[in-house]
Amino acid sequence: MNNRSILTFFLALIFLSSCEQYLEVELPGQEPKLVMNVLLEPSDTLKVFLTKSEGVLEGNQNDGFEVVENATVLFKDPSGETFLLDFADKKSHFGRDAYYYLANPVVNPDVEYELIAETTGFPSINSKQRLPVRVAIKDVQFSNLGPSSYWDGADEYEIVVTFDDLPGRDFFEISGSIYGLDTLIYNGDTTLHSYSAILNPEAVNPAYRKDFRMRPALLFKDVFLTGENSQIAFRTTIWREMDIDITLNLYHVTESYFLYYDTADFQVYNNGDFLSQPVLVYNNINNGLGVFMARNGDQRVIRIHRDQD
Amino acid sequence: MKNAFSFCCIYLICFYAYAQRTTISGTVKDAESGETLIGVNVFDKKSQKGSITNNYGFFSYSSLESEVDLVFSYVGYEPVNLPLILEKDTLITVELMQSGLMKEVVIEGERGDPIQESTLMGAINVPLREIKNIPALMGEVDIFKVIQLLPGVQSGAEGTSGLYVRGGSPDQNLILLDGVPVYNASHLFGFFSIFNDGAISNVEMIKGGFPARYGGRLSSVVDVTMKEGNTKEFKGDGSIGLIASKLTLEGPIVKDKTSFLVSGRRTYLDMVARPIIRKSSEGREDVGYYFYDVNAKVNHVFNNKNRLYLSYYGGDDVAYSDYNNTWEGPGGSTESKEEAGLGWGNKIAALRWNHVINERLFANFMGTFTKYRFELTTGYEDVFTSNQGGTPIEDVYSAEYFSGIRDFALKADFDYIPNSDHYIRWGGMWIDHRFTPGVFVSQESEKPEVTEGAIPSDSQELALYAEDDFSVGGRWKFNAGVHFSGFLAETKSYTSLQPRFSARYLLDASSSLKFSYVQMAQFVHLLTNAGLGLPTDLWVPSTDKIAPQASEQLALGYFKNLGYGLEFSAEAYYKTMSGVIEYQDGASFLNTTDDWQEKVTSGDGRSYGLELFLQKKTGKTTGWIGYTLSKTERQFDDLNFGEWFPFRYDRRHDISVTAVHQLTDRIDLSGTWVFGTGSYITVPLQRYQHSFSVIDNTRTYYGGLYLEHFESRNNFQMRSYHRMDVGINFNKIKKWGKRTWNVSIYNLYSRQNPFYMDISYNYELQRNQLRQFSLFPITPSVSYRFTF
Repeated sequence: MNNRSILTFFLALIFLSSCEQYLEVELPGQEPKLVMNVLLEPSDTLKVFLTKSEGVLEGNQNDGFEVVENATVLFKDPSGETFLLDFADKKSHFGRDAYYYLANPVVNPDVEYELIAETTGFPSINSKQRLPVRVAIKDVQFSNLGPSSYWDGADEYEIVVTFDDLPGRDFFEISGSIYGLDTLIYNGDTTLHSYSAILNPEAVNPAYRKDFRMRPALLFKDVFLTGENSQIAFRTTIWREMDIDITLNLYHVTESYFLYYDTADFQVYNNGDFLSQPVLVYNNINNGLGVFMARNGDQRVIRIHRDQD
Repeated sequence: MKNAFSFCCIYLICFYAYAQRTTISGTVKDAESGETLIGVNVFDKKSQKGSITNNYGFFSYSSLESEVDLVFSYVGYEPVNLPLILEKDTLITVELMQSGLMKEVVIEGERGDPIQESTLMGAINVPLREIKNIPALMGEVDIFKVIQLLPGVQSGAEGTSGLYVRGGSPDQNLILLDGVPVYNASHLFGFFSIFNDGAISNVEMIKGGFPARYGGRLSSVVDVTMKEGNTKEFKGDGSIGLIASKLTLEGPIVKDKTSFLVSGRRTYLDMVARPIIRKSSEGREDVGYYFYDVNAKVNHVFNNKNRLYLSYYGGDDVAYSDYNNTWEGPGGSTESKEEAGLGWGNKIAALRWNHVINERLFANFMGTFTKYRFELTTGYEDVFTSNQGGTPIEDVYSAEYFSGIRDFALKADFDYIPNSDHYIRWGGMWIDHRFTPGVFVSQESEKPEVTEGAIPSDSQELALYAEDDFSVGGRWKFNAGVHFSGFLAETKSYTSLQPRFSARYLLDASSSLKFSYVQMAQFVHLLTNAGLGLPTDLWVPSTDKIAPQASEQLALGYFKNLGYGLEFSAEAYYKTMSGVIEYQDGASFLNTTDDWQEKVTSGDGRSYGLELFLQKKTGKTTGWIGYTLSKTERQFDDLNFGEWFPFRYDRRHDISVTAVHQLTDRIDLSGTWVFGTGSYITVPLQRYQHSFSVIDNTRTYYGGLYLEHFESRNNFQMRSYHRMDVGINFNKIKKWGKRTWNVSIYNLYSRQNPFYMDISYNYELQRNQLRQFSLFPITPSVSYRFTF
């Protein structure tokens, strides 16, 4: 090979190397897994949502996830009694609502339950949860802090909820709704005017605030609570033009409930920010993905009159 | 006679006698330039004992005998044999002549103690003479790139100059330039280090078995010494490369008394590109990037006992973008100016005083300053002038984000050599730190200035140390010491007492076993996002909430001098770290509204491995082969659900082969080959249904339909890294000096090594892809070097 050929070879090599912008790399672990999403609480129906995951290199997230039909889903109580869940598949204009369910399950606080799901082509998945003990709302105090700085016609309220924090590590969630009904008479016509909103609790203690939360709920650990007669204070904005009923829920939730929403909210919040660190979402389904979580709640309704300070 | 070529000056000064011992001490210098030589081996043939020159070229040797037969040897220099009859303590100056100047091919002598003799473990004197011959990326010689070729040292991403030493992070390296810490040692986003080889005389790296005199970092010490400047005659050298050129000038101000050195380097891609960019944008746009650095040093010898040095380093990276335009509308015209800039750089200064208190006691006093600053600026100015006259309307906005660290320090070091069996060192240091970890300042037209981010904070650091390097019998040698350090953070103070111990047992005349145990503490942390050594990384102090970092390291090694200039070492180490910080899940470093302390979490690390090193120091062919087998992990309570996970740069296997061969007097060949198992990144594997979409238990605001499943932190190992570089030097002696043409090819077989990876949708294939981007394919370069 003469000098010119060598030079040509090297120049061609450089040219070709420069043209290739990237290299496609194989990513293992793309086989779908069973995904189970379940919330266990004292209610008339236990619903288990069972779908298939897809590899990040497969499909398109906008297509939705394939519902797993013909699976065997079992609910086991500590005595070893097993309940087979039925499958419901409701289709509507808004989409498909398909799940496995158990009507009128008997669930007791501080008892651990297990869910098992099996279907062909996937390893059996399972998870356990202990239903938390219900923690009662002992007292609710509220005070009007004056007009809201960012919503005309509304006042900012500070609400303090008192409850007993149980011994050990506990997790809680406060959420609620607002409902008001008023009758307006204008030129002899009577109009029934209703107002409905979600309570949006903003913790007074900055340690409980999380910018990334995606849900109108205050989810917190008991790290700063004082045991008996613990208090949590939060603020919310309420329309002042009518009498209002606030329905407050205090949920005693499991650690899996806390970790799941804490991490899932953060991942969704950071979606698209390539400068942020990745967020690992909590998963407690053995051999699969998703979450089996539990909560037990107490409810209190408080009324705020329009002329009440 | 070889010695006939040696040039040796002896200045005798009388001192009082010390008991029965007589002491000979002094300084060893390069005969041609007058530069003091570090690590010269001083050996008495009669007693079979010896000494070594310290970082300032000073040595001291005491003997019970009245006659000594000293040999001064140093790699690359002709040894000097000096038989003396000692009647009283004697202070001398010895000058060694470079072998190359004597037309010698085989270079004899050792640099420092022979490998099997010293108690030091994990210490390597970087062979500066070879560095210039090793092929370099774009022809730009880089000390850090050579250090990356040593066992136990991992490079970061492709082309970058970050150092990951025995599982440590880049912030755990104490990088010293003339004894002053350098906080960001990189140019061009880490692709080049700030050290201009033309201005450097010595580089020593220690990665384990740290003597007590070093402290403040967990993983390594890179001690870089600037040249002092030729005290004999005016000299210069420089190079012209594809991306940068440099020039070093040095010479005497007063011969043999006062000398200077000035060295400068600048890239010029911006100058080349500017006319093209301006022409293509019709003069409206100006975009560019450059870096420069300047090294300067003055040293003055008052007498044999007193010497003063003043050294300075200044360097900056500057990226800029300016855009000017004028729009003519129906109502008037708008003149628009947009500016954006990115800059970072170091300023370093040191004033040192070397004082020989007596023949056995040497002192060094220093006052130092170091500052690192990163700055990001943006702004615009729009001026609207109506056709109907009136006052022009201005819309102005400017924003600046900056971060940095600044230190003032005072330091005193003492070397006491009572006899050839003891080398005692003690000293202390005080540092005043100022941290500015990310401040954002913006101003819009007439509105008041808005400032967000951290408030600058001051901290004090203190260190004291004492150590003794001593022999017991003929086979055992120990280095025992203690390093105490303290740090005042906000309202809390931290202290740390760190024992340091190393031992050497001579198996025979050419081989030894060594053992070391050290504890280290570090009071400063680096908040790093991508691990690339980006200038955006923030230096932050230990605070009331964030504790200092600490480590313990055990090492055991076998060292063998094989003869013919060949040395072999095998070292096994186990290192644990605590207080290591990391960004929390989801934290974004551009978020200036949160306190940095809320964005980080601290945890533990561990690393263990085996390092094999075979080096040939002399002869026509020199170089080394290094192999490292290692494992490095991290654990944080708040990350990865508390489970251990691999460190990003955990490399199970790391191999480097480096060779320089002198083909003829005029031609040198060189080559390197490196291999490292792939580093780790965090990649989602699965996408799955979000419970939001099915369990609407709190009336969700909004949210995605899916979640991404990451198996764990750093769950994906990228492709292995390997690369071969080759180079050839054509040397020629000219009337005015020497010139060298260097031709290098980086990545000879154009391996696509991973630099960055992402998952994105390919519209042509209609599916997602995991894509690996590479930076440097085969990259040839040419440079011209000259010395006069």
